[in-house]
Amino acid sequence: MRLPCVRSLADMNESVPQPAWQRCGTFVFGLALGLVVTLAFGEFFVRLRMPEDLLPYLGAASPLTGIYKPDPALRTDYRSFAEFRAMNPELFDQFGSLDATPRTWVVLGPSFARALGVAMQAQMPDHRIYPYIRDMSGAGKDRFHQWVAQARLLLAQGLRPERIFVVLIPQEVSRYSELPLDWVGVSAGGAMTLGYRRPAGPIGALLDVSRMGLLAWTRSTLRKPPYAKRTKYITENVPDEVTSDFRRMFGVLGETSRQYRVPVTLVLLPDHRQILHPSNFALQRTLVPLAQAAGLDVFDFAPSVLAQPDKSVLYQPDSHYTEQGDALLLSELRAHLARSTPPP
Amino acid sequence: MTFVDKNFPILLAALLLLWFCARGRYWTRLGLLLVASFYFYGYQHGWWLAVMLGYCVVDWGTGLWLERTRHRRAVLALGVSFNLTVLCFWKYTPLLLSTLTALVGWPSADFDAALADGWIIPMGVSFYTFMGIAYMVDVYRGVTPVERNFWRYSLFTSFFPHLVAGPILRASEFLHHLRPESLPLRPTLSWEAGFLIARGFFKKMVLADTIAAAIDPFFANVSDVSTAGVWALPYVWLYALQIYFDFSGYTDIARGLGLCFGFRWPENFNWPYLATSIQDFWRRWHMTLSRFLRDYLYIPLGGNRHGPWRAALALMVTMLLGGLWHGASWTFMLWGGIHGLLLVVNRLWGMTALHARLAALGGAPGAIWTGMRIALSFHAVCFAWCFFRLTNLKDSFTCLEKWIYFDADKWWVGGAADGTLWLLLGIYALATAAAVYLTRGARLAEVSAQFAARSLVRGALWGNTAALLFMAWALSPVGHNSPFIYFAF
Repeated sequence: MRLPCVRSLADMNESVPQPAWQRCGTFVFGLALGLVVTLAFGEFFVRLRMPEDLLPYLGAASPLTGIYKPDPALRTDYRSFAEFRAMNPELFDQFGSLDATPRTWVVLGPSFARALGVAMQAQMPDHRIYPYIRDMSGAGKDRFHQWVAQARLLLAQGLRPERIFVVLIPQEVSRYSELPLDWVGVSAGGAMTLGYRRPAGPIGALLDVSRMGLLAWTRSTLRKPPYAKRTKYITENVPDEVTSDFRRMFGVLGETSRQYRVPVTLVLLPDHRQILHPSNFALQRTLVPLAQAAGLDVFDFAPSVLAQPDKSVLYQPDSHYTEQGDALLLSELRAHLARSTPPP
Repeated sequence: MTFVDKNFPILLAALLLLWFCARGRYWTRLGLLLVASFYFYGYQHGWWLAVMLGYCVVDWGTGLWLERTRHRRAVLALGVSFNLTVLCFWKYTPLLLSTLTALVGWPSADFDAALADGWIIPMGVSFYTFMGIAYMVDVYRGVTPVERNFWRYSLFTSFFPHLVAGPILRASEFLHHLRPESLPLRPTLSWEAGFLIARGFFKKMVLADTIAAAIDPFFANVSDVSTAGVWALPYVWLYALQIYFDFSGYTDIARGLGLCFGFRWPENFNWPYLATSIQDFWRRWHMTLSRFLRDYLYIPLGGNRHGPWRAALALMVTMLLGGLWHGASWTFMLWGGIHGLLLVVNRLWGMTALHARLAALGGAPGAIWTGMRIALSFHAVCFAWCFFRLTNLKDSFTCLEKWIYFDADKWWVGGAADGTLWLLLGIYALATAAAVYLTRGARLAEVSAQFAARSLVRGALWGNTAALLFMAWALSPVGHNSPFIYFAF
């Protein structure tokens, strides 16, 4: 049996025997044709149905909407407190107005901050604790610059806590090696947008015109800055670019702390790999002086954990702290606060 | 490891390269495939290898013993019993204990919950159990010669492309090709192999996973107030497509990988949703399992040889066990029972005079009747899928109830009403129909052979394949890259 398309295409093409170079050329032409036609269907589909993970990479053209406005230092800031509050209604409703005056602590940060806040609530009933304030509107999870913006927003809104704690974990630091602070932006609709490494030449031009090309690029590691490759473990090597981002963010946090006379403690947690496997503490050595220079109080939890005889009982299999770990963190943090002198 | 693991392409490329370098050296090639397969299987849990090797030792040893003993039946029974006992232990212990708890209150529900949480079934154990049983029975029947080399037999069982979810191969389809005179000398990176792999990944990562993202929330909350009044049928249609794309995608990849190493394996799917009856459906769906159930269960149970009632009984038993094979849930057994019942009804219907008259219809009435049969068969299959997808009986019945009772304003809502999803499926259907038209339904192997010498078309086909592979990755929905459904079985 001969197939109809064999007759129509191939016979026309090769009724006369061709030399090798011509056959090769025809093959390459066919290859390009097959590629382009099939990819055109893909491009058509992607344009019709933009995958959600592509939308933050479209810059100002992103159709996403959100609650942000551009900020020169932190790249994003909150447009209004009302919109921010709407994301955590239960928490803010529970405490009523911000200017109520029991002893208040605010804990900002990732899931570790939530566990710490919950432990504080359980052990310090005389305190009002804002344990875990989420920003659900960003592209992906909350990041450190958002917590800084949150601290600034709450203080500007009149909240005068006794202290603000910002929890920082190594995984959070490593996210800035994949997406530098300057690559974060705000779309016309107020959503957070993300940048990517745009190569020069035809590939860069292709990314500008092809949504599917951009999708593939941003899903690959090629989107990351070149120094992301060098940073297998952020705890052992903090790139200068990341250090510079944190200097900037610590600076804003320190300035906010001084402006509103509210002390801020940076709670620096080691990751479980640092504790359970031989590792160095370059991250702590880099960030602690940086935060102190910005006027922040720093609590480095690593020495306390390392001093424990059985470290494994402090960690859950998913690398979060166990109840025992959280209890140790809180007791060490309180001891640190008792030792440290309040900032001027 | 799975085919969608990020390290899998590295393993495959390294293996192909080494295999290429080792051409001519039989034992090196065999060893390479074996080591790669062991690595693939033991990648997640090293102890799985011990389970699989245990099977290999017993099945291979049983084969040798069958050749030498006078008590062949007893030896076969011993070998098959071992396979089934170990399979049942892994698959059904939690189900058995939870059923005991429900019936007699022992052991405690807490114990059951803790056991179920930590219970890990060795991946693909059902598939290599069936291959082992098929081998032993074939040796017993004298259909296949005994394999004397243990490592060759181990490779037959453990070769990574088919290890986890089939196709369920017979010795004649694979084991015999591992002998020195048949083992391919070098990798055969044909367009057919590349296209099968690319199509398989596209089916799984784009079509099945996109459908899953759209319908999973509905099935997760089917008895919930959030889905009250929603018409369930579009969701069930989509699930039918999801499981087809998921499983046939896996089979495509497995067959493509097999072809890369020079092994041609049977097809597992042949347009199953175009079946005109349930009987026809089982000739087109998971064909290697249907074949196994027919040859190693239905026929030994008596098959058609003892009259229609005995045949119906054998059919019911076969399908009930086939259902239970899919998983440790009574709903799977029910799913098999429904298919068994439908097959019996189908068979009885086939004996009526009306069936004969309708089957003889030609022209437009014949085409309409065929269309009705396809639609009816598809919906009967969808009916049974409700028990397959939802492993809680109450949820299954709620889902079925929502086929009929739904709010007028919710007949087309949620993930199933996503127009672009239907557009994607439509584009795929059109592209497939165009390909079938252009090739007059020829098999891929024929298409490949006819285009081999025509550089323009060959180039276009390779271009299409490369683009399909690229799109499988680029268009897959992020966050919904679930494992292949049949990996659970």
